Amino acid sequence: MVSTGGDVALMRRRPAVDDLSDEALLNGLAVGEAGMDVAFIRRFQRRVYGLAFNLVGDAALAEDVAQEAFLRAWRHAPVFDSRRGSVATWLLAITRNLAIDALRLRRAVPTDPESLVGLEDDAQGPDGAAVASDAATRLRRAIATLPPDQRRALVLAAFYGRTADEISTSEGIPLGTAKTRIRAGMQKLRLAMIDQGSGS
Amino acid sequence: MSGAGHLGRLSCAEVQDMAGEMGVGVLVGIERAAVLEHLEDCGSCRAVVEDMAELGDSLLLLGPEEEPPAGFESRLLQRAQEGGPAVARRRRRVAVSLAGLAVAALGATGLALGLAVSGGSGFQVVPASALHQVGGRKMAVAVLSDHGAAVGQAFLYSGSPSWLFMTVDSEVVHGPVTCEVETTSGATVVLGTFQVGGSYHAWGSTLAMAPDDIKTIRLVDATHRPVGSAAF
Repeated sequence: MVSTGGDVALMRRRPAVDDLSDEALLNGLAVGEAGMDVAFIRRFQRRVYGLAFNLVGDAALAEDVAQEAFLRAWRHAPVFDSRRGSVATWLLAITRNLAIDALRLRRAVPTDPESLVGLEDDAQGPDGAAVASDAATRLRRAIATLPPDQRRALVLAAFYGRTADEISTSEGIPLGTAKTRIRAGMQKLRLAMIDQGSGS
Repeated sequence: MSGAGHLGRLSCAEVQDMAGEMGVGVLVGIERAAVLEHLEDCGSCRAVVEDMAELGDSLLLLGPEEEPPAGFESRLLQRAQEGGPAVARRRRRVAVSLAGLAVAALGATGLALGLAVSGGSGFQVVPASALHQVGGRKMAVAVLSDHGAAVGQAFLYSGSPSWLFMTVDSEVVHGPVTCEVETTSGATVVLGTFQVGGSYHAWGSTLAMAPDDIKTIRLVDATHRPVGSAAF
């Protein structure tokens, strides 16, 4: 009854889970479609766990943070708004905030926070290269152009949730300087991203 | 908004200067409150701040990747089955009916008796005699605040059942919000998640724990960033 050609057409209409966009995957998760949970974990676990581990510095705590981040994402999947950012940035923001929360008793300031953004390692290995978005590549290129003190302040703020006041204390610089470094760093990044966007 | 008044009305230039700190989520206190107040009716500054927030979150894409420990996936799926989304959905359904219950109870007790919400972050206790007629033992009220700026009110009722009810200013807080409580023993318990925005700005939940064991109530947004809290 069903021709071979029909089977092929049917297969074409139903892409493999791995071919789904991040948003489509999250949608499937939100409505409880079979297999979406595993696919979602496999797609993002390296990034989520990697961020958690590099922020909290402890494997067991990082796993707890990463798992909680996935659970939160599943819980909020039905109300995810793609106009406010990508699935990846949303999930990583959840992870970052949970990690900061887990580190309420803050560790000492990392000696080399900029290493988090991997300026010297553009490819991030074969898996990383496969999933690294164009936006991430452009952003890494842009952040590499910032003066080191601005880059450091920006990473401390964006990844570790350090306020200007906290950066002022930990870096031994005036509060106004800390604020300027964060603000100027972000302004330059924004302009660089706009320039790169219009130039490409 | 209270708190923002200390800085006065910010100009667009001032707000856009602060947009970078706002974008990475580290602008706090009266500066944050003043920016939020400005954004309420300034579309162009809101666009800049939203742009910066998107950029700030995008920075996380540069974070390093690591292979999780063996068994990560199966342990996560197990956790999800035990208390993940299914529990959250069930709690949300309960919460909807509780909101009405809480409003009714407040009408019958606190509000009808002239219940007043005072400023500050500490709970103010309604006299037990005023609650006796509805079988309640204690009702406490607190202002939910974020870095000194009021974002809502919380009502904690000790009775059978005990419950927590809150209203949240939808002009300040948007989107899905999770309510967590920190107990006196230091444990964090998630009570549930609700949507703030439009006409959705009130929520309630029954309590499995004794209200006296609650030390802090905290609201976090979809990225687990704190957006309001109240402490005993």
